Amino acid sequence: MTPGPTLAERLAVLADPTRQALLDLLREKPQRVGDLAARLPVSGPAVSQHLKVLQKAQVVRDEWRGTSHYFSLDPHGFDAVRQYAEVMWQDALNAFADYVNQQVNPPSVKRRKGKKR
Amino acid sequence: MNAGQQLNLPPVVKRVVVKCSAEDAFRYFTADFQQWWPSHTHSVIAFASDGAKRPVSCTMDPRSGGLIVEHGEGDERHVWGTIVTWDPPRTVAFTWHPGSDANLAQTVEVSFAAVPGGTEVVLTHGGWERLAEQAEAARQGYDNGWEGVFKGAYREYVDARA
Repeated sequence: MTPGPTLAERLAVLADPTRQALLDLLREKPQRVGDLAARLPVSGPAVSQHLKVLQKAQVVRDEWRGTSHYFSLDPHGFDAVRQYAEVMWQDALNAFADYVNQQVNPPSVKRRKGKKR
Repeated sequence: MNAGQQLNLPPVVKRVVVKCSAEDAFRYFTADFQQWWPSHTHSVIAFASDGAKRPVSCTMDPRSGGLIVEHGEGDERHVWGTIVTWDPPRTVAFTWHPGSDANLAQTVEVSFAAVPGGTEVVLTHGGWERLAEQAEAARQGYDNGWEGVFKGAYREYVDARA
């Protein structure tokens, strides 16, 4: 399995207003490129391009119904959020444990005050 | 069945054992939040600037109703959450919505329990169904849509790997 998109990539993808508008529409129901283009001030090819980007980021998925190509939100996106939380809290708790250790066992500074000669 | 149930996302649970009393661990976690929180990577400001900028501090006001706040230069301020359970030295729980609106908040509960050799800290981050409920609400015409969930939530977690 190839690794999914990075967080930065996902965010960059979602930061675009047209793509946000597309996600808004897809939240209603699965739709075809033509349905989406009819409701947005962008061309069909432009919609296709944006959908491709959203699919790559794994926030949109597609399915064929007969000869019609439908796009819908990919619920795995929520799972992705959860996975990010896993990593974030692991990092945070590690930082916390390090901090506690420093408080309990301050880093031993080799002092040789008494050995001055 | 609402979207949250459909998504059925279990909480994220993380544990760590630290070599100090529960009282100390609780105090370190809360009052000393700004001392240990990895804000150079885990903050709204660091994320928004792609790591170029850092917040001045990320603080937790250690009391019931206290806020968790990221402070930037000047007046810049991002509220990450509010303490909803304050039960030292056993439990602190707070809402959690860095980078997004409070109505997209999840919940984080942190418990502290004595174990041989120290204190076990268990962090439970749940309430994901609220994200889904918001998505559902947005679908029905409210504010803050699915994309808001993602923008907010991703922004929140992005630092993990940015």
